[in-house]
Amino acid sequence: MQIIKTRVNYRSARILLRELIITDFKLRYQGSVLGYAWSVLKPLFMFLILYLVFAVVLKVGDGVTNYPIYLLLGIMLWGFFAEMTQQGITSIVMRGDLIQKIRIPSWLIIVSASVGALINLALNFVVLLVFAFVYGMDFHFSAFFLPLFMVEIYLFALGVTLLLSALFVKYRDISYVWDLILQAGFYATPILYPVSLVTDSFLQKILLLNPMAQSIQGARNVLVTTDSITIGEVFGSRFAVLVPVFIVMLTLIIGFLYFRKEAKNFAENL
Amino acid sequence: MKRSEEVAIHVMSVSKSFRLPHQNVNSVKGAFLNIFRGRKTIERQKVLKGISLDIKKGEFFGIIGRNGNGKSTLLKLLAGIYSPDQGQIRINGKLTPFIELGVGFNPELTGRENVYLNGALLGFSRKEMDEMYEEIVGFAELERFMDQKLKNYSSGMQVRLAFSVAIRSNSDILLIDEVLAVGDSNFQKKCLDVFEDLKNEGRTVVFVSHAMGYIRDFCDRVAVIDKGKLAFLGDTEEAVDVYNQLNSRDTTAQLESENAGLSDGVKRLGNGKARVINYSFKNERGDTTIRLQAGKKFGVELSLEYYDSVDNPAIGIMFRKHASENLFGINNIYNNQIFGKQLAGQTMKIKAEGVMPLAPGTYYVSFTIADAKSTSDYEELDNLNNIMKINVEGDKFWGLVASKIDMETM
Repeated sequence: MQIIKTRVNYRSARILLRELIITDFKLRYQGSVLGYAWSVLKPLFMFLILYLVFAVVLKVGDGVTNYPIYLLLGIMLWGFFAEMTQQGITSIVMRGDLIQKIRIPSWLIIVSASVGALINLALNFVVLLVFAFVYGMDFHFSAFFLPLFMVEIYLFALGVTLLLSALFVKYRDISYVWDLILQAGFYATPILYPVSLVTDSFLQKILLLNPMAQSIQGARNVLVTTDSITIGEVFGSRFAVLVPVFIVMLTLIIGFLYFRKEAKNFAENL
Repeated sequence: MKRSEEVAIHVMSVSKSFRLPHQNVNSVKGAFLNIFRGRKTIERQKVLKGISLDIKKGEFFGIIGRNGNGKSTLLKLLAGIYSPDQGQIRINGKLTPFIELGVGFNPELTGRENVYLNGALLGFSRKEMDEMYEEIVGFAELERFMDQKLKNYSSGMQVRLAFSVAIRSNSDILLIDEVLAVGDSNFQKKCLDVFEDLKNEGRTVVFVSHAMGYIRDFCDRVAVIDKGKLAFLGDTEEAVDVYNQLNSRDTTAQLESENAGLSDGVKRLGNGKARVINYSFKNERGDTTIRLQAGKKFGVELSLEYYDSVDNPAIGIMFRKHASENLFGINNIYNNQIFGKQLAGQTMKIKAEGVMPLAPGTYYVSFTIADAKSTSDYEELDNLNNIMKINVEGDKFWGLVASKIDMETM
């Protein structure tokens, strides 16, 4: 048993990654009139509905400062996670033509798919900042910590994508299963409702062990309002944050190892 | 051409098998069911069985073999797209990642965008592609079309563009799989020139093709892959012979089983006053076979039976291409051979001999018996229409007819 020693040529990998990203970017909203406006319109529309139902009618947001911005940031971050994983999971199969006919590092495909979601996140973020200014929100120095939470979400999404995209090559049910998990996850994560609405303190702890909940709450806390309850507050210790971070790392390592093991057989299993 | 003893590609007892597709577990449900049933025997199909070969630097190396015998799998292993189950492959030098033209082409992008994308697959940056762009487009002769979407290109145009980018590859080792099949003769000529250049530059080329002409023209050495094994490795002419033999053995076996089907389902035409009872073809040596040599002697033997009196029997043989296109037919009357009146109950054996006038290929044969009342009035007694196929071999002819013409300088 011997695997061909393929020298990873970083220069050509970089060049190829760039072209793949450009291609994805060009093709994404091909043939639509509004084009990239859709990547902003979609979360905004979602926000509008949820805002009307939960803030105006049900008034769940009362008691949270800057609730509209708080809600929009949550929707954006969750939307990024959902988009990146959904696109990434099918990406290996979608790019099957390349994998079956060219020697190409498969991880390039995963990374290039993730860049599309990152671009959308950036566009959405600009809109969020405009909103925040118009709304008259105060910014604090703590906002500089925001990228940390985004990196955490990205790495979590990357781990999930690596694992599930490799599984998806063999089992096409994976994408449906993941859609269901995302649907449940949207409600299991405190996106619409403030954590304070959950009265059971044990349940609060469980809720915030989820890396998505922890990172969204953290991001809101540093950018929007200190009303956003973080995992540190719930557990009464800063170090509690290490648990979700550990989950993210574990997901990433398992995803990476499984993807690496399966990648050499992608061409024949597709 | 410089041919060093340095090895570019080293293949050592490489085997590869694939899971049979129908055994593939494609859903979670299937996977669970398999766990509960405790089924672990996944059937695997061995595609390559212990292939060993060395390709030297600067060599133009051909791989030939019939379809489904492992050529493309071998090429994909060389390209690093598949990894071998057993054995090892060592590549010495930079290898093109392509095995097929136009991979990664996207129909929704313009020709220009696709050139850059394809260039990136070869490892060229935008800047490097900028420098080559004019030349690539010029070579493909597609200057006017570059801002159109690729989906509006004809398949020939797409191949031209793909080939023009692919030949820019600066790798030491090129893998080329059946490129010359598409494109007009003008463009094919260009491709051949490029091959000539590659050969002169001393680059290593691994070339897979069914076109024996190109294999003969370019290859220094050839490997014949048959049923996943190396059937031959070495001299090009010998390799082509081995390939042709394998091919015609295969065709003959296939035709024999087809012929059984044809004669089982026979629907006789004619009024039945006489019947062809038996028919067979003989080769030059007189052996019964359906493998005949173009331009060489062959024979046909027929047994007939008469059930009614027939004044002037006309026994005909017809050769056809594609079941309907008459190529060549003959009978004894046209040959001015009169067999005379036959009575009911009589039998007759006929032996026809001649030189096979058809060029290599497979042909339908029909046998007929008629009563020739006059040169134009034939009463059809029996007609075994397209009753069998024969396989004519040989490689010294083009087209349909195997006729010799002498040529000399004046």
